[in-house]
Amino acid sequence: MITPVHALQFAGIILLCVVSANFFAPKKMRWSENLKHVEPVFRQVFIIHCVFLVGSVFAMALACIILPHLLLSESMGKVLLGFMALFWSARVGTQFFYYESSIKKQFPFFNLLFSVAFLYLAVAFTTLTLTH
Amino acid sequence: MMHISSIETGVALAGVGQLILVVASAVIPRCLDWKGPLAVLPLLMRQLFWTYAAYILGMHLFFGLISVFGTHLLLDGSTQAAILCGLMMTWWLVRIGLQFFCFDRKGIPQTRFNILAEVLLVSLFLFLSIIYGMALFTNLN
Repeated sequence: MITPVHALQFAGIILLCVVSANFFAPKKMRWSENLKHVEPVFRQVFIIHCVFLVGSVFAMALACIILPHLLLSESMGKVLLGFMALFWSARVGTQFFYYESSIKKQFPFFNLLFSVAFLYLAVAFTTLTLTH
Repeated sequence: MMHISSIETGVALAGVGQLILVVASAVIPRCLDWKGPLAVLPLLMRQLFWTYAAYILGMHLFFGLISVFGTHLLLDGSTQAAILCGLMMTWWLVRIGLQFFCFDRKGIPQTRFNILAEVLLVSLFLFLSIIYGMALFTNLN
């Protein structure tokens, strides 16, 4: 039987996969080559935002894998779960409605993989927020 | 009791500071016309840039809202509160480090306005780091 703790730990594993994907994305999408064309300030903002976000997702992964019981507790646990529900629901929206379909057709496998992953995270965190 | 009350005020003020930062961050790209310089990037990179920026804005909004409306939750002595305070302290400490050791500020004109803006920004980051550090310490005791 899948318990909320299992659901959170599985979410944590997915989050770790999302983190690791960010180590391969720059090469696959030729970030350094593309970022050469913009002013240094934009290059720095882009990289720093990326580092902060990867760090945030890593922190979420650790919380889900190591401390799922704390996320399932009252008050602050619920706030954090609610925040993650919003975070990943927004990411699903971005994936489906913001990114151009031409880009998604360029990377159909990764598009499917990330869509499924983000959907799981959004549904799991939302369900747990509403039911705990 | 007095000590807790002053930290509560500090955390609430930190929240207000972050909400002001969110408003300023949302306005800056339009004021400085970021769209123009970013047009040279391929579509995917451009969309990634705005997605990342929106998420960072969302994180700051969350930090601001939880500090203003959930001050008591951030100081309730729970493990969750300690972790979140530690995370926010680390976030802002890293931000200060980046300001001084990673940002290449050569391209930014040293006008009075820019210098004042940087002093205010770094002061805010420092204040946030100290307040969340104190909140972490309070939660651990």
